[in-house]
Amino acid sequence: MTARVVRDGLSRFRWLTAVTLVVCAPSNAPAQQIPAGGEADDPGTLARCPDRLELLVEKRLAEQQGIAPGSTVRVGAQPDAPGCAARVSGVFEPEADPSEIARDRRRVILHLPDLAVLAGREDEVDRFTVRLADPEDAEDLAVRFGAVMPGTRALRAGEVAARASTTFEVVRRFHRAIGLITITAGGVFLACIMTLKVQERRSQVAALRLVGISSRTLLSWLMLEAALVSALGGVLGIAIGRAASGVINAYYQRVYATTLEFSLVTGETIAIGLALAVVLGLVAGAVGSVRLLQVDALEEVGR
Amino acid sequence: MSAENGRALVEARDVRREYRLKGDLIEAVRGISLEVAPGDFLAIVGPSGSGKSTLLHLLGAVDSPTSGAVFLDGSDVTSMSDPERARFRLEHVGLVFQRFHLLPMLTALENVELPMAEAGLARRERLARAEALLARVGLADRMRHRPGEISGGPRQRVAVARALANSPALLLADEPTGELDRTTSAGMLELFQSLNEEGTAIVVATHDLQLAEGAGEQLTLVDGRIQA
Amino acid sequence: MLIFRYSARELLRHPARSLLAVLGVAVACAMLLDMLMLGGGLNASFRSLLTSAGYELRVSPAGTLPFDTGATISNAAEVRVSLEADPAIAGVAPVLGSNLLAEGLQTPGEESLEDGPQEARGVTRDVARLFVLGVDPEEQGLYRLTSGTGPAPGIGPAPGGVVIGQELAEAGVEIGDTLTLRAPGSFADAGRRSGRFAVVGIAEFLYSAAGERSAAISISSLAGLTDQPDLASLMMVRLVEGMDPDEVADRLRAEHPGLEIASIGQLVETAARRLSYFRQLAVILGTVSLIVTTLLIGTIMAISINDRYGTIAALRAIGISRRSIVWAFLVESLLLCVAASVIGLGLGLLVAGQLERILSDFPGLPSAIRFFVFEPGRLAWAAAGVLLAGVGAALVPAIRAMNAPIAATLHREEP
Repeated sequence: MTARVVRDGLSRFRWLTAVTLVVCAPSNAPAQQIPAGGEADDPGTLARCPDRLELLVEKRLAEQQGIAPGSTVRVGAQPDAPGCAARVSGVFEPEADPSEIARDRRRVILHLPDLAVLAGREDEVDRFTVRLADPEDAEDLAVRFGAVMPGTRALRAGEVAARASTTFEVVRRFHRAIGLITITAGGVFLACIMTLKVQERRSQVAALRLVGISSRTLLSWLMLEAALVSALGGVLGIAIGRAASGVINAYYQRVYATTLEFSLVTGETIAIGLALAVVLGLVAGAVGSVRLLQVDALEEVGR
Repeated sequence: MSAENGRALVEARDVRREYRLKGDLIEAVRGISLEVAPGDFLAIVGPSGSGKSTLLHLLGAVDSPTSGAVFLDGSDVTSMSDPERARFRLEHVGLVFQRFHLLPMLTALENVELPMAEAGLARRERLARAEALLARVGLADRMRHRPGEISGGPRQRVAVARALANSPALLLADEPTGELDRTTSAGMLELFQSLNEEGTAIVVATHDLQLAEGAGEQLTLVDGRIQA
Repeated sequence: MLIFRYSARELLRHPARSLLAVLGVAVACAMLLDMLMLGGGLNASFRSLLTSAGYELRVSPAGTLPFDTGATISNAAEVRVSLEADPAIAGVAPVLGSNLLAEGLQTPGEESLEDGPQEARGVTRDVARLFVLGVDPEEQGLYRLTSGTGPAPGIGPAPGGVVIGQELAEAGVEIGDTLTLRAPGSFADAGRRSGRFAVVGIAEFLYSAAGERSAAISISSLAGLTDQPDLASLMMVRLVEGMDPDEVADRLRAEHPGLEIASIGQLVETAARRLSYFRQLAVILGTVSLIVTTLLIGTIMAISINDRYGTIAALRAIGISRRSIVWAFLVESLLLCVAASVIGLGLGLLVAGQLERILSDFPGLPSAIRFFVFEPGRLAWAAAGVLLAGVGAALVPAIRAMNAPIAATLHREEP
């Protein structure tokens, strides 16, 4: 594919570049008279203001600043510059973006040419997103784009997503490590409790062995009990986890003013949790039971 | 403890003990009055459930009567607080149980030391006394053994030595030969008789006829009452 | 001492049970220590990093944190002069940051780009992306030279040398080498905004993320390369000795409404808010650890005491006081917890190292930042927490046993 085709293809798409802008809420002071298309008051920061400047304002910002469609605001690239008058043409709700959590940033959307003028970056973009006629060409084109345009890098969408997810990948690994520690503690706890429970009933078990109940039968009873106890515990734990998950989501959604879900209890989580509980319980029960069944029953009852 | 002017060492005045068991009122002891003088060796006998252990516990201030009073060497133990009664038992009463109730992880010597340590005796003194007591009950060579390392008879002897730790004038034993064979029981009787000859008053609650006949006096309890 | 001996031996009587209990509490103790280290670690580490260079205040564009966005301080020279005129201020270090391309590097793993505007043919050049800081070499707090010298101050856009970071040095770049630095941009003006810089020094860049290739040139050189005259991304302010940073920051903020001025304490607070998740997680998991300890010790002691009801009643019957009996159980649980703490604290330090390795991959965080910071005080708190939880847990079953009626218990226990 020649570069000409690439350029033509690129020109079909509109690009919105997120640039930090200073957006000033409408104030009581009279708006500075900056004629549309005319000179800005401070030519040092901006040569001219775009004609009929319009923008969309993020819902949170609109609520905080009392902005509504039709409001006039001032936008500029520097906080100390007077900026350009702009009309709010609408309010939008951005998609919940995990990378924006805890960052106190508010977004506005402008037409690309207007933003380029405001930011003093005419004929510049941060990136292009390219939709291909045939997605199979992505790998090949990513390499060739880079060759065609020195100083740029072409990445497939998956690679971009992977790079953007690094934070969450780190958090995921951290959570997994914490989960492993918790499971270890839980497993040891379970082993301890099962050992105690089994030992508590040693004279009963000994008496049953003496009356003829086989060790195998007794072992299966004890294991069944261990499985039931750990399954019940697992169910209770999942119920507590679900409740806690709801509390966590409610809390963080309020704190960060987002619709993102921070904690998810999925069917897979439940299945893994229950399975782990039962398996750990069975192993713990087996350890205690096997030891118990090796004790001399006569000596145990005689005690 | 010692009695002066013929005063009883232990005196129970019309003691009753009732308690509820799953809604039913059980009258374990019904209006019993008795006295035990210093140097007495009394055996309380009776069928299971006759109230022998309950009476023993009342006499030793281990339990409080529902009505009536118990005096130990002139002190009304019934009106004492729980800590006061505990202290009184520590210093004046020795107790022996059917199941010994020795601490399995302490040696025989340490088990005997325990009441003396509680009473505040210095270590050197209580070690010497514990060794002497164990020698007295014939276990000089088992001092460093743990209860699990010795059989029933010697274990009970350790329990007796423990009961004598603070030189009580009264020794109460609840079925002391219950877990012992006949020969060992006979040995236990000899020990009790020997202690009694030295001046210790002994009251045993027992099913063991051999032990009961070896005691100086017998008291038969039926349904919580002394059978005449 | 007899009580102590009894309690210790009682634990040895059931070695499996005791060992499992110790292990369980040890893991909980390890978790508690890690959470205590995590809870305060980030703040402590961040504060330590920020104070390491000796600049107490940071000035950034209004509404932003240093290098949080691409916003810049305009009229930087004027702002600097204005700040330096303040009697509380001893020095102002302006900083401009930008991503540049460095040509002439053989950096493994980097894509090679083909030159030529239209055709995918031509001479191959190796290009690496660097994060370049424009500084005043005589007043800067972003790097510590390990060899060589800083860049010349330079007036105007004439290059005056480059200081490179450890990553580049390890890639084989040496003092005396020449790097061509170019602003990334359209290939149409590829020849225009570039400059050749001699490597004059190697430094440890204090705020570089792991793996980040950093370099420093004079601010005027960078401004020329990136066409950002009289701009600064950040200014670091050094105060006269004895000045209160928070007070000075508050005053300057009122005097310069177009700027964001924060003391280190205020920056740490802001960072703490952003990373509050870790502190909250630390609190939750730390609490869970204490609950696990309490439950485990409580259950073990309850069952253990239950096993000994008859003996306890007999001991009380022979005159052993309630207090002595409770002490015995508390000592037993204390011994369990002490053994567990010794193992757990060591395990905690080990696990903290592993968790630190995971979290060090956080993108964009200076590599000098530590999430888990060891302080003896935290160790002591972890141990104390476990001991208190364990002893408290043992109290309940101990008191229950202590208050059980003697005679009734003896009746029940005797055949």
